[in-house]
Amino acid sequence: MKNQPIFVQSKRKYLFLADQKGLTILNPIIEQAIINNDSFEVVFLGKQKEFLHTDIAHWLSQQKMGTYLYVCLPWKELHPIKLKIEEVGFSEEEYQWFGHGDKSKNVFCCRCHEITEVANGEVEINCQYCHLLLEVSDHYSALRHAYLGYVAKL
Amino acid sequence: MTYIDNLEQFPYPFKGNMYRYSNNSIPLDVPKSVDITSNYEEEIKLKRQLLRDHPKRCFQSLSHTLKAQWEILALVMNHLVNYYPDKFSLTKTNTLWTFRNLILNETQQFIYGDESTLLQQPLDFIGRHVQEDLILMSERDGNLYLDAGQLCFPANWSLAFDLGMSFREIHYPIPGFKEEKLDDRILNFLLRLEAGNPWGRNNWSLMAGNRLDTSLETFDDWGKGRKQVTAENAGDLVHLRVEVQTLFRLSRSNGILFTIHTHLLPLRKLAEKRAWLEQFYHILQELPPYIVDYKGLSLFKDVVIDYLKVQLEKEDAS
Amino acid sequence: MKEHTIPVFIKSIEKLTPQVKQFTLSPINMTKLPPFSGGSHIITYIAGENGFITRAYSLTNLPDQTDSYQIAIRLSENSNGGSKYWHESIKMGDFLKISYPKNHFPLSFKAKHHVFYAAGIGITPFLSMMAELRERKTTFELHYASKSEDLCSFYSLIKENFADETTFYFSNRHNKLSNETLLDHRIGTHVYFCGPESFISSFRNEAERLGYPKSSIHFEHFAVSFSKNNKAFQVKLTTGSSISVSKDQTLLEALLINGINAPYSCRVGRCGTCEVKVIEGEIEHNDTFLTEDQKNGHECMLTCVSRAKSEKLVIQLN
Repeated sequence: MKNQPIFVQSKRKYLFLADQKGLTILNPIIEQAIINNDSFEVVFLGKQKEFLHTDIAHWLSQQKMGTYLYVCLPWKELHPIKLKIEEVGFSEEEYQWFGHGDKSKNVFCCRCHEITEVANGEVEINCQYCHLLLEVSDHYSALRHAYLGYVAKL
Repeated sequence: MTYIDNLEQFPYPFKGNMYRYSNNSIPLDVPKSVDITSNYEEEIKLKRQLLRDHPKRCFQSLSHTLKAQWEILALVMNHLVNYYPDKFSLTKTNTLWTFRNLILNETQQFIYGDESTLLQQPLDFIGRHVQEDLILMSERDGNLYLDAGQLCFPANWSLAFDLGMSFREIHYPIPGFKEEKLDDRILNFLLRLEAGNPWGRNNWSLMAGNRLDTSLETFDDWGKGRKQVTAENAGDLVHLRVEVQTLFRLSRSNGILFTIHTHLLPLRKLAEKRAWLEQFYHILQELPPYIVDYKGLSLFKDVVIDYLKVQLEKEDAS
Repeated sequence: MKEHTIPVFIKSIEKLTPQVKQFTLSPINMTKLPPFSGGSHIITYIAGENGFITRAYSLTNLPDQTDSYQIAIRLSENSNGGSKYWHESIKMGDFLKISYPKNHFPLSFKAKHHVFYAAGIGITPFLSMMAELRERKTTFELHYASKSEDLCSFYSLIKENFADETTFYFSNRHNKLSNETLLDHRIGTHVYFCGPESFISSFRNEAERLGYPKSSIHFEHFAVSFSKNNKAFQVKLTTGSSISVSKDQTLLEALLINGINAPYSCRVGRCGTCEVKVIEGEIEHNDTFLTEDQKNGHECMLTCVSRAKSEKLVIQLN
């Protein structure tokens, strides 16, 4: 995803979903909506996140076509929220997402299909299940939410 | 056990003295998705063994694909009974179908459209009666996705990883593919594929060993063969691996059936045909590094070229 | 590309309204016709004085009904032969050829809710789409505008099967369908428009103004716009030959009649298969495939629906 949020013009309403840090990142966009006199809503995601997930899904599903959503959350919390957003019906063209903080990566073991979570930037890792030495690739599967790990040494 | 084609059956894939990635598809004169060769029984046995021992590696499907899977089952069964009436039969009494495989002496009755009447999902069932690997690409919102497949003989890729991916995502690792806009061109070609007008193409690679099941999952095992090639053993160890592929638009689900029939030929046999030997020697010599690399030939290409050169000289001498 | 076709005969003709006739087509050689996906159409080929009259019509029967196909044709005042021929000359028992089903107006897969907007005979593609959604258990609604109940094709069929989902708008009762209903659709809705050009553009523009993403907006022109204002023009090919296109012909038809192997597929300006390069001349673009930039560039055109603005064109076939 883009590193900087981009303001998408001519939507009938804008939504912002973020935590404290996320709001500061989205702030330029919120200001733009205010300047344009666009209709918008902000939902602040505090500490009790698990509890709020159903409420968020409900809030999102009540929206009408023509709505545009910005999400900015810690990387670790972003993925489950994205699944919710898409399940409700927002398409890639109807929202932008951004993460902040520590980022990790899932690696799909080419031999045993299990997933090992590693810090972003690792190049070679051992599969935590079958212990094969894997070379982390940039080939990504959205379904597995993981990058493919190839045999590192023959 | 070996699964080797003889020279006359082998679908030699090359046309000129040079090879590049391209959409080399051609319309099929005969609309036939499957082919029965003399290795039928051996290969079906191997397929079923792999499916039993490694079900997740060899079969994957998303839940929305059942309807398209039935459509594939019907299409493949119709081809089997139309093109091989002495080997297969199919009788339909309303929705009750009776399918007979006379080669293996097997009979299966089922209600068309009712998964509970088959032991496997429809695609998994029919795939156990053909030598081809069968892949379903669904068309969803203007793009194609690999949404189901039975894959026992992959050329170094993982069905379990690629499941649910778009055509572009699947081919992302191929060097030069995106840069030359081949992904877009082939995707557009596939999206325009129409029912009643199937296409076919060939793909090739070189393989150190004679395994059909060269899955990514077992690469740590069979990939080692690439280090063992010498000028002495190349003729028997190294095989030209050719995939005969067909593409059928499924009219009901609007998906695409992609079939892959894999053939292997040891270089020693290839070298028996002077024209093939000469052409393949030129192709390998000229092959650009990005293709050599992606096809996994870097470790043994030079040895193979040496081998082919010696064979050419031998023939010239005699 | 030579397209495979299916020979059929006219099994029955039914008058649906004073202007619309429904034709039932049954197969000659096969016992079954291919099933199709919601939104599919066929091309009909009827031998006429100047070669084949070819037209695209949506299939209006159920997707799994394979003993026959149905199409509904409205007699157009501007008809240059297509609908006029069908209405006045076609009789029961006549033979013709049709294409396999094609779908250039498929249902969205990811949509959470589908809304169809039809004006007049624009209802035809939606019948099979609604049947498919009913089977998938996905929600949908239909907004259907017509002059009056008497002139409303498929009125009783829709009342019977889709009463809860449908709102009729009859202009003789001053009940006009307005694009304001676009304001009410929930997130995840996909909208589909079919009817005259002015109807489609009014709904498209409003949906875009409200911020609907382009990929959630689908539309199909129910007929290639043959207006009385069409003019004849000359086309020169870069290969040297010169061809006259009469006011009643498409450029594609003229090319094919003159024995030029021009590519084509959908014939409704949607798939892009028939795209050719334009070397000289200005184009009246009638397709929905090229982007606005491409249209303004006058460097390419689709031969199946687009014409010359100038008197002469120079084109290059790939």
